Amino acid sequence: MTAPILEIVLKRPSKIYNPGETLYGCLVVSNPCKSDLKHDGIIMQLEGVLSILIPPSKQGLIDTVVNSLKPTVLHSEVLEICRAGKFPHGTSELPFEVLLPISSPKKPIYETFHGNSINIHYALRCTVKRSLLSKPLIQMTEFLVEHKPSSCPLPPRVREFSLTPANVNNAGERSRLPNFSITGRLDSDMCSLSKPLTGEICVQECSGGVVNSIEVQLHRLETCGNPADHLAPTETSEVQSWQVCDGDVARGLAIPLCLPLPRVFTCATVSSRNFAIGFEVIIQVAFCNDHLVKETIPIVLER
Amino acid sequence: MLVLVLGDMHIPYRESSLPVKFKKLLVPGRIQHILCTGNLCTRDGFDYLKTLAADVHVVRGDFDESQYPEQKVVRVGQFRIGLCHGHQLVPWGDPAALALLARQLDADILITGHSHKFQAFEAEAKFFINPGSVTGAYSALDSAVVPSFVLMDIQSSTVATYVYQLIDDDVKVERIEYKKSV
Amino acid sequence: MASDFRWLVKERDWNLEVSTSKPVPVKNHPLSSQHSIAVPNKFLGLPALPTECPLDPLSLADGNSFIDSKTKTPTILHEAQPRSTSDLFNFNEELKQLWTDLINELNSSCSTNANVLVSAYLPPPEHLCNDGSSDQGSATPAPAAVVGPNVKTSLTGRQCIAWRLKQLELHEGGKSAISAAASAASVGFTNHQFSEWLAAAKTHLQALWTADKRSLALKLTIQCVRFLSMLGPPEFYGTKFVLITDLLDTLADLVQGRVSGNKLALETGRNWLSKIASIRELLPRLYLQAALLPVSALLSQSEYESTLGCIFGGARGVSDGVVNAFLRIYSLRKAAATRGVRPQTNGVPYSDAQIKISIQEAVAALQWSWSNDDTCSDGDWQHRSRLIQPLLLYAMKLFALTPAALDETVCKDFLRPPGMGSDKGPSKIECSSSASTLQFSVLCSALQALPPQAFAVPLAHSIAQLTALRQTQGAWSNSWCSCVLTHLADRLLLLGPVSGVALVPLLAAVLPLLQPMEIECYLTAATPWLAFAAIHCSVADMESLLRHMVRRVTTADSVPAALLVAMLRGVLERATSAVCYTESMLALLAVAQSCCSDAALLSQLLGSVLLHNAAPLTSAPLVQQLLALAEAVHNSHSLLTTEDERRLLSQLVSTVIQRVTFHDPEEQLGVLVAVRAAFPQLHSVLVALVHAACSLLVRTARLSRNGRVNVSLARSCVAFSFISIASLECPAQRLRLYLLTASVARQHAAHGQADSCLKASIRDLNVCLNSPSPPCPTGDCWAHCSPTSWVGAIAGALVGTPNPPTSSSGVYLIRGLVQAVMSGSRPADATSIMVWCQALNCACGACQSSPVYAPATVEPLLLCGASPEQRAEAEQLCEQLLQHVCHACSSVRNGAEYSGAASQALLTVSCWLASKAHSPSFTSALAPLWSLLQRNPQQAHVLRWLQQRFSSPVLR
Repeated sequence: MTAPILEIVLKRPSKIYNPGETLYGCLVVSNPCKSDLKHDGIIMQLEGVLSILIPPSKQGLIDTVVNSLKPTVLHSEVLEICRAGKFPHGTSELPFEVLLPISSPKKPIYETFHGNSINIHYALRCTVKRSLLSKPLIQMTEFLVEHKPSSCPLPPRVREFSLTPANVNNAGERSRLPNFSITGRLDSDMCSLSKPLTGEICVQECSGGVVNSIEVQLHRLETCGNPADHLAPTETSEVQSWQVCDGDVARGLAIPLCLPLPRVFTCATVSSRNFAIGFEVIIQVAFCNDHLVKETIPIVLER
Repeated sequence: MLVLVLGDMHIPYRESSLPVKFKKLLVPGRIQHILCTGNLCTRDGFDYLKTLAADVHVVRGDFDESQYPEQKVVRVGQFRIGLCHGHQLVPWGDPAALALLARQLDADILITGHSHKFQAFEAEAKFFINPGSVTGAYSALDSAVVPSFVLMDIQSSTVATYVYQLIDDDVKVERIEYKKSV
Repeated sequence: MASDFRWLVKERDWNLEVSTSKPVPVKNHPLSSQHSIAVPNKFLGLPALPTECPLDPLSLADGNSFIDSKTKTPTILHEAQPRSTSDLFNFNEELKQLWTDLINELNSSCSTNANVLVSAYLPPPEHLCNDGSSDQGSATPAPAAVVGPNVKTSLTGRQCIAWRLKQLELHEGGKSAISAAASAASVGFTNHQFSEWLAAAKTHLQALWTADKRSLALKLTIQCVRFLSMLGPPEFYGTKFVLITDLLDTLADLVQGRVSGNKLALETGRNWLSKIASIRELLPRLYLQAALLPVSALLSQSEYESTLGCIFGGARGVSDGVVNAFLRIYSLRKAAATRGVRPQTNGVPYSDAQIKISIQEAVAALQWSWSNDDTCSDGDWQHRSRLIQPLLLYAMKLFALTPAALDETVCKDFLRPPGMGSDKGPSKIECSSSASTLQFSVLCSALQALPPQAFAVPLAHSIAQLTALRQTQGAWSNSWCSCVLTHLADRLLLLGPVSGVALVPLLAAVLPLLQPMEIECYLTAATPWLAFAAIHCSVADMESLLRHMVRRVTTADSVPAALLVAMLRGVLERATSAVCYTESMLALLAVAQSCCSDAALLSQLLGSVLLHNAAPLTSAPLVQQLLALAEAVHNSHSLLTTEDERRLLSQLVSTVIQRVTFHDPEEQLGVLVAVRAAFPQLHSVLVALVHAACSLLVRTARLSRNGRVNVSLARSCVAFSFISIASLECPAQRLRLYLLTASVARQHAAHGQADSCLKASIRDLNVCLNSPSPPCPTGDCWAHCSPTSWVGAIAGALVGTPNPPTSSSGVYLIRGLVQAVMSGSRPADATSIMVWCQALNCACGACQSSPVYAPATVEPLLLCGASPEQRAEAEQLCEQLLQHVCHACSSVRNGAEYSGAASQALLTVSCWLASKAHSPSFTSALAPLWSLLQRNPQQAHVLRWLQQRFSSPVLR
């Protein structure tokens, strides 16, 4: 006897929802058997879970924080979409609608985020209860939560940067670095996730060596614990890296940066009582003698 | 309906081209049919006539390099028009021979050429035209040839024939009328 | 029996038979009225007849097509207009064409036979996409770069280290998956292997796609695109680009097919684009973004424009000039292909605005990366220029398709070379190899691609100055200078009318530049310039230009004939015919004749001279030169020469003969004699010669005061014709030409010769009538026609009297004709009866004692003044013929053609003959004819008419 197949289809193909919106969709049940499929009711559960896992490398270093935090349920809602009954042979569609509540300080709805130590996950879980003898059928689908973009545009906060032998931090090897000056700017250090990261970079001068490659990297900072606490462990990981210069580019040539931010592994910058997610942009210049020079610029991501 | 009747061009062997004043008169789009008595000699002459009107009928002369028919009958309006170069009729231009040919072809109007001399006459209710040579090429019998051609304006049962002759570098036009007897 | 009856030949008077119509002079006629209601020719779509120059139809047609080609505006100009759907279609077609051209050019630039080491290491395509699998868990969706040492430039420092570690591991004998690769690395991969490898990759890509492994397909593509990031052997880069962009296009098509065939189209498209945008490496990211532009064009306008911005802005980060240029070309192509999809902003498609900027930036990048590279030899610069030119040309042509190209100032920017800002004077321009190479490449492609309007005369001046400067600096080789000048002149030729004032200094500036060049470059560059001068300069100016040319050409060691001929044809096609008569032109023709061994080229040259000069040839040296050219062609003919080539030569020679018009007829006859001696094998030339000799005689007579020519000229012309005719093969052809010669001879009082010509024609008639058809070896000879036509022509000539009536031909000729038609074993068919009737008419006509056309002014005249003996003989011939006819008619069957022949015979009898002394045999003899006619009902009206004639008192 082949098992029936469940599928949750959301009306929105992107599966992206803002808090306060209702998820419309339907449950598609395909019964391949000739006989009817009996069930004792179907329930649909919307669940948002925040889980924080302290990375093993940081474990034990900090006593103030509990080692492993229990996953916190941000929101959970169960509704029955079908009373007990049976499915005939073939495909049946059962429509449903579930409300995703508005975020409030008491019960916050964070944006979906999948990180190394912090995971914010929203899913619809559907359970077809069956008679005692057989196992219930369960089907899950993840959906993404994004906050509504703020109606007023973000004020541009131009952030200029400059890399010279004098102001890079790996000073120990300064003698081996060429004499260079690389300047640039980010059009704003408050970025909207829906717009590309824009800016400009320019090799003003580089003598005694050749630029091999310039990369722009987006890193995320996951803080477990109270961000106000300086000792809270923070893990940095690379989300995305873009090469923007390949080889030794012309001096004084402004190279525009236009980098669409990735849709996964990012979310709006968030800070709460027991965790924080932040981002930073790193400009990394590699010279042909494999020397790396970096400049880090913290940025705020917004919807 | 305008029917242009001409022939005996002999281009390029005897003359290099049509007289300039004739070329000025012969403009595309005016003439519906062209009846040519032959001796165009090369294909180029035919191509030129084709630029003047789409409907071109040619019979074969004694110096033609293309295989046209020797005789032809063309129906224009109420008229049957016979077309023949004429060097086959001995003596050339014998009215009796022309009359017989017109009978044999059952034509109301018979057009012949070869003499390079314009001629038009009516005999036994039939109309005979020789348009002469349009270029004024020398003929077998004469080297002083007046360039000429004929334009027939056919209206129901009447034909107004206009004769264009280039005399002393001047185009002279004359008119002859022929009415078909019922 | 037939021998019983006796005939009398009647005297006829045509005045009784004919009432000539009386024409009335008129002013208004159908052709005159059109002067007032003229139909403009352009609406009829037919060429207007030129009214000034006496052109024969042949040159008329050619003249028109020539005018067309001169006034034709380049098609690219029409592209500037607002587009309809069909325009867009054309535009896309044109894009495709441009791209195909580019690809062909790039492919041909790689010498395929040479094995070039392309890559040191090529993993099998299957491995390429699996390499990334280990990275799937990491945050970066882009696969890590593990390709080989060859892509080191695009690796980050860390990756370099990783690679070296792996290598070390390898050397220490550690087991590694890439040991096979290492062994390959020691050998290296050639271009062929690389091409095969990419073909395999393409197949693999399609396989992956159909197997739903789309991200793997993407990875494979990314790995392939990586190969573009290093220049490798530069001669292979073009081919590499072609192969890899083909792969990219394959992927793009697959993606687009998926997106457009998907109901979640936009979402899928966005997913793909964000996947592409997060590729780590610059070059693969940009190439893929460009490849997927059609997909992003389906999204919103702002997303599309932002993608375009990403691509064209990001391209600045590619430091290598060549890599950069190729990337930009691919992006431009994709952008242009999508310009129709998105609505326009500010009336200009967004992609159009990018073209110019992109070209300039690409040039700047080249300038930068080349200026850093001082290891290049001269040959390398040549090579680089060759690699870059097709790209620039493609971009410029794209640009020329946009409306912006019509703006003169915009184009000027392109022509300003890199490193030569507007503020710097020409003396300060940089003379490094890189700058001058680039300048040449840009200038050359701009000259080829941009509309001619962009090159007004002042600009042409500055280009000429620049060329001069580069030449003196030695920065540009002669072939480069020649190339630039050639393209400049080509543009100027398209420009249309130019004021002559500005022109002379321009020519003066350019032509000295050509002098020091090698002869090939010289001729190539001089061709369009002289053509240009031919349109705008006076004959005197042309003469002096050509004189320079002669001096240059005659001092050269060997002259490339094809170039010289092309140059001369260019001039001849455009200049007035007076140029042909200049000494320099003659000298150049002579040089061409001596240096050219290719018959086709020479006959083309000859054709150009004749085709573009409708005027009569009045200069003896020119005619001699033309004949010398023709002779050179003729001498090169061999057994292998095709019939078409012979025909073409014959045509050309005939045209020369027909055009020759000398003041002195003796001299002209001399030319004809020379031609006969030179081309004895070309039959159509012989025919033309006979015609030419005859019309020479007629023309000379017309021009003389009394309408006569001196007897010796007439005799020599006729003798010339007579001899020429004899060498023709076809009897029918000879017959006609003998007749022609005879008639002309009679008109000019060369009676003895006329008679011998007539005799000869009767002899040939005999041959024609008695030979099995066709009478001559070449079966399709156009001279063949029906026997009635032949006999009619001869018989008519025998009884016709020339004007002025001088003498009559002897009755022996008529006897000859009668014998000819009666001899042999011809069946008594309808044609024979017709022919006999014609001969009968002829014999009867010869019996007339006075001209039947009575008033002497009416022509044609019949022979007159027959003596009693002649008359008796003619009557005897008549009798013979009539017996023949009647005899034949009594034995034949029914049939329309027989009744036609019978009616002809009856008419002859009714017109010409009367029976002697009311012989009863008269009617009985004709009885078979009547019965034949009666049996054919279709001829009823003819029968009635003939019966009337016989009973008519007038005729009896």
